[in-house]
Amino acid sequence: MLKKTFSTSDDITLKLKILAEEKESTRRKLVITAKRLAVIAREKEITRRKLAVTARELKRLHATLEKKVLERTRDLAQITSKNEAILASIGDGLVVVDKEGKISYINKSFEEMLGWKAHEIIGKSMVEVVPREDIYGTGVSFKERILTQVLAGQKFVADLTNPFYYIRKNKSRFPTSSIVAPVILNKKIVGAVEVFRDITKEKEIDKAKTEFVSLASHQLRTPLSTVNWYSEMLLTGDVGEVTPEQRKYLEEIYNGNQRMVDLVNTLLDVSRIEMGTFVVESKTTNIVKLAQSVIAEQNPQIVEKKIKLLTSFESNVPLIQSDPKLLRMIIQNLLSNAVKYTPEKGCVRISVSLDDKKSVLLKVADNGYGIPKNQQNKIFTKLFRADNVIGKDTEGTGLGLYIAKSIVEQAGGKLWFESVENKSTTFYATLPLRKTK
Amino acid sequence: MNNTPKKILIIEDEKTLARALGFKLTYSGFEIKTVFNGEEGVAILRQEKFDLVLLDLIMPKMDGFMVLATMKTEKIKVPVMILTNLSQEDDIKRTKEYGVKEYIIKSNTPIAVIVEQVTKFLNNTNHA
Repeated sequence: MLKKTFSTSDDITLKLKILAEEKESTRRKLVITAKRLAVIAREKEITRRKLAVTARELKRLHATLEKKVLERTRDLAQITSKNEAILASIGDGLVVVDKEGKISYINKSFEEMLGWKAHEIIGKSMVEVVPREDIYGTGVSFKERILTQVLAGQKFVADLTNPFYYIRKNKSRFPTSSIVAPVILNKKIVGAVEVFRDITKEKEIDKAKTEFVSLASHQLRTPLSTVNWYSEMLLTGDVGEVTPEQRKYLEEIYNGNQRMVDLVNTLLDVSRIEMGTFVVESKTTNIVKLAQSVIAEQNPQIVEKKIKLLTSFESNVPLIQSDPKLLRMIIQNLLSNAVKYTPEKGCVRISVSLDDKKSVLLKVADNGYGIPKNQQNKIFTKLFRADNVIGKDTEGTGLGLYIAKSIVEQAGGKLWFESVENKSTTFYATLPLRKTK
Repeated sequence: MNNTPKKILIIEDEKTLARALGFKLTYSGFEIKTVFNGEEGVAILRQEKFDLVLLDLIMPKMDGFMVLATMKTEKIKVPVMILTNLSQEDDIKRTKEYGVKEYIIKSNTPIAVIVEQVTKFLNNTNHA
């Protein structure tokens, strides 16, 4: 190689030149690469810085998040304890059960009212731990308990207006009223909540009120008897003949007074129902005969209003064990309502049939004024009268259906209705052939 | 029927009602004596003989239940018809325990019906 190198000076010069050029080209390439590297380095630095910023940001966010989680947790804890405090301090007894009816929560009032501590009964069956009795002291079976029925989806919200008794741990009892509602999750009943209160005070006030009504009604009867007897004596001419005009006036007095007597009697019936002093004397009763005699009794009103009365008494209706005096009141109420609340020339149908092997069905239908839909849920409430009939009839007291329902239920039956305003109303009463309880 | 009129004792504190009853029953041919409380009622029952007593329940001094009790202990055997405005089953039951057969609620019964029932009752005892 040296030999070749030193062959000629021209060669060397040429080669050096070539080398110089190659070097220059390489240098340029290097410069370019260096520039590129510098760019990359700069970009990398930028990215690094960006990353640093992002990292810092992330760190900050993380810190904030943690703070927020802590805050939220604290809030939640606060809400939960607040909720628990609210539940605990509700004056009414509260019990939450799961779908098997096992107690999962009770509040303080529950503990105080029933004498049980939460740790003694959580996980146990509510209907077994806390027995219920009706006002007559008859135990209510598990199946009949509202809680059971709500859990089975038979009732959505049960509001027990009829008082019953809860039995405490120490076997003493107190009157309560309660509301039971299902707990629904994803359209499934997963449990129920019952809220109940001790109504001893209310019962006492109610009793005093009823006793007052009873006493006042008896007192009212004395002057009513005086007006009755003396106007009757004037009408029969006991103290001399009266003119036709005078007779008309006397009849007004007599009839007005008679209405007051009826009202007092109704009030007394209500007090007897409420005091539980209605003595029920069951005997073998022919409901068809009773219905026929009520129809005969109300025939004057039926004829006066030109009402068409259709009857249907099935021949297979058996005699039932019931109190004829009370059964009569039910039929009287339903029929007189149908006649009263049907315009002239309307139609009333009354039928008695065998409902199933255990009960008889009484049906009273009319094509009268009907009961407005928005008032249908109040129709059995004491003293309630629907808007659409108040103006048409001044004699109603709003007590008839309340009495009828109380009697039917006392007899172990059911009373309900279907009604379309200005079209028709049908009342249904089922009466057991013999009372089971 | 014998000619001496049947004697009825009305024990009723409400004077207007006692007067109306007295008027109607005298008009129907009965002999009437009226007293206005249980005490007077028992006093007169100890001395005189009556065919029927029309007895109110709520009265001052001695009420109708007390009259029934006294009649029982003193063995005063006169039929009693209760004329009252009490209508509780308990009250009715209490009087029945003293052997009372008729129980009439005044405000619910026309006076003519009361006279009718009294007449029927006294005629029946006459036949017996």
